[in-house]
Amino acid sequence: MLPQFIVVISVIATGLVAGVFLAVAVSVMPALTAMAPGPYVTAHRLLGQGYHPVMPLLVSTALLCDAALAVVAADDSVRALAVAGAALLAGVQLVSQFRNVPINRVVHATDPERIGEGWADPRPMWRAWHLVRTGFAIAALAAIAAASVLIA
Amino acid sequence: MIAVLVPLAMLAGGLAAGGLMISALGGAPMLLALPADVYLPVHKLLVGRFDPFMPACIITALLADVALAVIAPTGATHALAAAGAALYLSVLSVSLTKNVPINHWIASLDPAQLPEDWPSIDPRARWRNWNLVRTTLAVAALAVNASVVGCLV
Repeated sequence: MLPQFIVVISVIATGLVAGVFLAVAVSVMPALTAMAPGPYVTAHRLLGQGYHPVMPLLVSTALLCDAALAVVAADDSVRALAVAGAALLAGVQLVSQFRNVPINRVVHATDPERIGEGWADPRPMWRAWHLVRTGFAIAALAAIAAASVLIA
Repeated sequence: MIAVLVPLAMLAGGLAAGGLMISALGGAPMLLALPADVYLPVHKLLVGRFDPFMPACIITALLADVALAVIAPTGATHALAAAGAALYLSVLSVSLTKNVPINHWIASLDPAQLPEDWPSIDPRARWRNWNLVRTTLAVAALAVNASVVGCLV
C-alpha cells in the first residue's frame, strides 16, 4: 500500500502545482502584461503574497514523494517515472529559486508611484521562465499519473 | 481503457483544481484590496482568460470519471469514480449559478459610473466565497481520483 499512498499524495500535490502554474500562464500573466507599469507593480506584489509558502510546500512535498517512490517501487518502469518526476520538480524549484523569485524581489522593492522612463520591464523574462517551469510541472504530473496506473 | 482514463482524470483534475486555487491564493485577496473602479476592469481581464481552458479541464475530468464509474472493475472504484463525477458536477453548477453570473454582471458595469449603492452590492466577498467552495470541491475530486489508484488492485 505504501507506493499507492505515496503516489496519491504526489498526484494531488503535483496536480495542484501544475494547475496553478498553468492558470497563471494562461490568465494572470496576460492580465498583468496588459497593465500600465504602476498598477502592474502593485498587482504583482499583491498577487505574490498568497503563493508563499503554499507553492514551495506543494513542490517540495511532490518532489519528496517522487523520490520516495523511486526508492520503494518494485517495478523498474515505475522507478523511472518517479525519477523523471522528481527531476522535473527539482527543475521547477531551480527555475523558481534562481529566475522568478529574484524578479519578484525586484518588483516588491519597486515603488509603483515612482516608475521612471528607464524602468526595465521584468514581465517578458518572468513570463518566459514561468512557462519553462510550467512545462516541467505538467510533465511531472504526466509522469506521476502514468506511474500511478502502473502501480495499481 | 482504465490505464487511459485514470491518468486523464488526474491530469485534467489537477489542472482544474490548481487553476481554481490561484484565486484563493492570490487573486481574490488582490482584487479585494483594489478600489472599486480599478477592480472592475481587472476582474474582467482576469476572468476572461480562463475560458475555455478551465471548463474544458473540468468537463474532461467529469467525463473521465463517468466512464470510469461505468467500466470500473471493483466496487470501490465504481464508488470513487461516481463520487468524483458528482464532485465535478458540483463544481460546474457552482460556476454556472454563482461565479459566472457575477462575472457577466461585472463586465456590464461602467467603472466611471458605479451604482450608488455599490458598497452594499459589491460582489467580491461573494465571488471569493463561492470560488473557495468550488476550489474545495475540485481539490476533493482530485483526491478522490488519486485514491482510485489504491482501489484498482
